[in-house]
Amino acid sequence: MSSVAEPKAPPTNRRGLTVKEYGGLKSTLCVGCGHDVITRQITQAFYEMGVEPHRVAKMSGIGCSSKTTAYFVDKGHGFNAVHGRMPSIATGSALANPNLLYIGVSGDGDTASIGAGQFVHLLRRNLPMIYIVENNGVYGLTKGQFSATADLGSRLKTGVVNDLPAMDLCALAIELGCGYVARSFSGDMKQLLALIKGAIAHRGTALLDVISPCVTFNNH
Amino acid sequence: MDYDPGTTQDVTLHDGSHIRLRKLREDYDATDRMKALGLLHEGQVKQEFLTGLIYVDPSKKDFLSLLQLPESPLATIPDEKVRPPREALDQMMEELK
Repeated sequence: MSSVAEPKAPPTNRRGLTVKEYGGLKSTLCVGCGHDVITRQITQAFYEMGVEPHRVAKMSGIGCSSKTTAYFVDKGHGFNAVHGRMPSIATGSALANPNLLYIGVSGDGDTASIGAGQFVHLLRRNLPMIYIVENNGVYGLTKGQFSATADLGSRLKTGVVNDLPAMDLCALAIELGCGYVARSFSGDMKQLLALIKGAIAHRGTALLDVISPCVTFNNH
Repeated sequence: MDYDPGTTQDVTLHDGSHIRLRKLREDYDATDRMKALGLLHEGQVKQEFLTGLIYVDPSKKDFLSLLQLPESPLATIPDEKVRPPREALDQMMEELK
């Protein structure tokens, strides 16, 4: 007589939650975009660290990267701010409710160009939040214009060459007193996961500059 | 992708161009601020992206501690706790006379 094996229950974390319970909406980014890999590592890190989903506050601005907060921890809170203005919204939220775990996902345009003024004050205030920059050197949503982190000499598909020096977000963060500064690459999942977990454990601003080249507009 | 600490990894992008990543060594001291800034500058000159935990200082006070905010969310604290009583305001006015 044959027996049918019962399906194995998926593993759970210390909160008794599966990794699926840290998921979100389906991504609408370009196929192969590194931002989706970063989203998966954020999801995995929150799961492994046993963060309670209802205690997560996801903050973002405008851009491809800023869309990604919809793709993880859909049981958390969220605010999609005006372009480059996420830091002030995050600051106000953290002052009103310090019991949430704040994570901001931004891009290099949102952070280093239009949002530079807000970003530097977030760093010097040391607001307790994880701030991930999905850095591809371009404005992907508006067809790939250079951002302030584009390498000097980078060339657009149209032939335009970037004549301006790149801003180094990590150096800027250290100068302004940020207490957790890391850089990774979207394709290095092991390193990225470890750095996000470290950022969750850090009390203060944790900046992660993640190089994530744009598959459509190619710049870096 | 998985490359060893202290080594570099070249990545070919979709347009055929390259970037070079350099992973920090295992014995790197991430608490040394000047070293961190020096390495970042060196990376820029060599056109490499330094990866890993570049700098950490867990001792710095965060913004909420600096402001001495209570642990309870402000929105959940009742009026009687956040609004000074009439007597306190009267006393303040007396002191300003």
